[in-house]
Amino acid sequence: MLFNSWTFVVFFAIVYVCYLAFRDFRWQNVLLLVASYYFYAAWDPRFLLLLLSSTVLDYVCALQIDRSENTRIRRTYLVASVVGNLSLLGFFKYYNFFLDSLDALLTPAGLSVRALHLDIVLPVGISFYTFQEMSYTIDVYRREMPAVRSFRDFALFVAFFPHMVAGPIMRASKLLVQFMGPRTITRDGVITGCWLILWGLWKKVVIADNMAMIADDVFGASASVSWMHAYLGVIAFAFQIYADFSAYSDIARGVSRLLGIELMQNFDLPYFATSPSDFWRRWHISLSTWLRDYLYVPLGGNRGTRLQTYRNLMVTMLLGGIWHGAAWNYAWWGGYHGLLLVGQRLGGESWAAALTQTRWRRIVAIAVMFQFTLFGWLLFRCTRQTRIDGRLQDDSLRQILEMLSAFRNGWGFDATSLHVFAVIAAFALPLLLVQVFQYRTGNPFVVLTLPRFARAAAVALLLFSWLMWGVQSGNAFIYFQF
Amino acid sequence: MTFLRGVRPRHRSIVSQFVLVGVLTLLIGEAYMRMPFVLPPLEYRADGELGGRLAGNQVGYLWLGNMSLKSRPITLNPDGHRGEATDWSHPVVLALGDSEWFGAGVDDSDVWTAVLERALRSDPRLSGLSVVNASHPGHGPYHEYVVARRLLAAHDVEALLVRVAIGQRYFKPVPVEQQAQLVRAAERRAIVRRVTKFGPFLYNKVEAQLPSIRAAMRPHFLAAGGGAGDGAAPVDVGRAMAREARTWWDQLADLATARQIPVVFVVHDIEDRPSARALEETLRAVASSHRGVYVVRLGPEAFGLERIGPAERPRVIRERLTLGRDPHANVEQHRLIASEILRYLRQTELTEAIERHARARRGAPLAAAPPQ
Repeated sequence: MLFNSWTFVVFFAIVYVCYLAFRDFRWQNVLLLVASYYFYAAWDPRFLLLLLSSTVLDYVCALQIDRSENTRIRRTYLVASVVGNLSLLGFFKYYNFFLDSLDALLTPAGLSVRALHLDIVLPVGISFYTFQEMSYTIDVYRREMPAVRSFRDFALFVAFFPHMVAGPIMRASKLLVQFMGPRTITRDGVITGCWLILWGLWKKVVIADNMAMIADDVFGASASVSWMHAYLGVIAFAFQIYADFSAYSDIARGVSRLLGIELMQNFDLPYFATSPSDFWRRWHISLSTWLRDYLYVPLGGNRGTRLQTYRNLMVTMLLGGIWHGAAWNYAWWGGYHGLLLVGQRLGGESWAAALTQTRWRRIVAIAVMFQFTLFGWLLFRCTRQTRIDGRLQDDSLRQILEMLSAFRNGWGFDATSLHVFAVIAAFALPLLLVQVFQYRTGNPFVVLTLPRFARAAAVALLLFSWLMWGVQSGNAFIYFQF
Repeated sequence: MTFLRGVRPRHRSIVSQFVLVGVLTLLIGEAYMRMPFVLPPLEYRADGELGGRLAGNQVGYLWLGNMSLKSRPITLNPDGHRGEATDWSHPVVLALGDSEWFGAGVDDSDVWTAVLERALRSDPRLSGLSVVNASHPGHGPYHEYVVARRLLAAHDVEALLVRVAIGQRYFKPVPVEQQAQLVRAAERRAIVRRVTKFGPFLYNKVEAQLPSIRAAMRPHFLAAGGGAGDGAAPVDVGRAMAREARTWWDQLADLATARQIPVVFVVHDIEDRPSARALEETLRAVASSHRGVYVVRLGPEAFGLERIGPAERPRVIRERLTLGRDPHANVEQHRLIASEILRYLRQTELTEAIERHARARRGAPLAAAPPQ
């Protein structure tokens, strides 16, 4: 059930009317839990069992950790929770990836493990809810919060439909507590919630889905595109993935606000980043802070020697890359961002700070960082698989090399490139214009502060472009596959 | 509902804001669609027998992908056929089909008829030949017969190429008693279009969403089977369509046979559906009872898909041979259609028959048209 589908509109309308009709927050929670399970079952009812077993495991483990004073027992339950979640993730997401990689290693020696290959369907949202559950048991273990007694509230925390499929990855201390008491729906909450939904849907159906057509064409013909086309294809993908993923987060936040529940901001104008570390403060904030708190810091963070810090950065970013998908291109992407962060540290923090001292330096830093980001997206988007001996095999490295050597097919400064550039600009400029206002005012709801007529004109323009250029065929959000 | 106290809106302010947004959206839309540099949507004209058809002499676009994808610019000649104006005094191969053969989604020069024409003209003996694309979105066997009847009554034609596909089963004949009504409705729509261009667009947009809205009302994942699309169309569906279409195919074959014009029925069956096999069976029966009627099947092997399994084939077709967001053929599929039909025409020596026919009827070889 996609946010950009009528099925979701009908589903949410029914849920919302019932939600408003219930006076007691406990009944509202029951309703939201049933609705969330229905929402999840709409993808594939079989995965409900998986979600339920994972929920029960973490609920029990957290209770045991909380009740016990014995460190050994507490640690045992923590390990059970972490191993349980990682096993689910490992089996459903990475089993075939590691098996195929092992097979590729063994093939030269005349050995094969292909017989162990399984046809596994990746359950939607598994990467998101397993990480969320792990953060909860770890927080309980660290005594940062008590275990929740109500299974209903905990199950809702795991399965809350607006965000369960593609985040934001919420902490229990921020979300679970909101389910433990009555919520207030304010006029401002409804207005800003509606704006977030409208803005998110616009980004998805107008920007992301149209940019996808350009990016798909370019990456689909990576062996024959010219340099300029390759470059424009990567730019199109940069806008596609940002518009797509931030749209999901915005709609999730908007829908939650209508219910009186606040989800964290997942994106903060990431293409205005001036350095690699700034980028990760702005991009997929819920994942980057999760990786920082539950991986980077426990590894030692920046408390050890310089080399240890670099190692920790690389490990964190590599695992962060692999989290996105079981394919080597995500590992390259994670590793590349790890190298950028190490590079920034090698250059010294003062260097990064100096870049932002004046407006022009800041503009140059933003432009340069955007080019580094583009290179990362090139690695990320090269997901080609080739059929060898009847089996699909990762061919991302060759595709990356084809894109990087696109100049061999010509530089491509021609009318077609100009046309593609014009199309990208036509879609990206309105987005950038609004974001410049948001950046300069520091207010994500700046459009709502405009005078009455200007605000109506802005919304009318959104609606018009949605009607005229919006893709209504219900394309899935990119991050669903992760 | 005490917790709603804070939500209670200032109704008047909100309603006026909604009205303002609505009016501004309509104004922006109307202004945009009247801008001289904006490519317009293709206009239709009333035609009772065919249920309306695209007007001639225009350049515009069609909506694809559930009205979310504009086609490439489409040129319609004065006859309302795809491409440049036809010189009917020169030899002509006439192509009849639906939107797939019309080439919705590809440039004029990439439509398979244009590709086939270039390929045929490369043979010096056929350098003056035109391949006229009289296909039209929404045309099935009945419409193909009507168009052929009209054109053959007005012009000399050397051969007919007719598309047959299971998807055409939705394109039903127009009942005689509804024809006058359809013309009146088309005239009313033309009046509305003169007043507003954005209004009809909005209406069509909403109409295109209705099936999705209806589908959203039922929990699809609980329904057994999940609905059968064309890909699952069983052989009975093909037989039912063949029964209905047989009369039109027979009449078309009669028409061509009477004029000694060869007809090639092309069964376009990229997915290798059992239903299309049933159509092919019936067409072979038509061919056996008419002289000069041929049947060729464009199956998966014509598109290089013979080694792709049935389960994976729809995905591969979508990625390689369609527009992606819309199931219509892309440039590559049009190229393959042209190349397969050319191969068939040569293999069955129909190219020679076309040349002989033109020579006999027009008394001159198919030389290139003299420069104007």
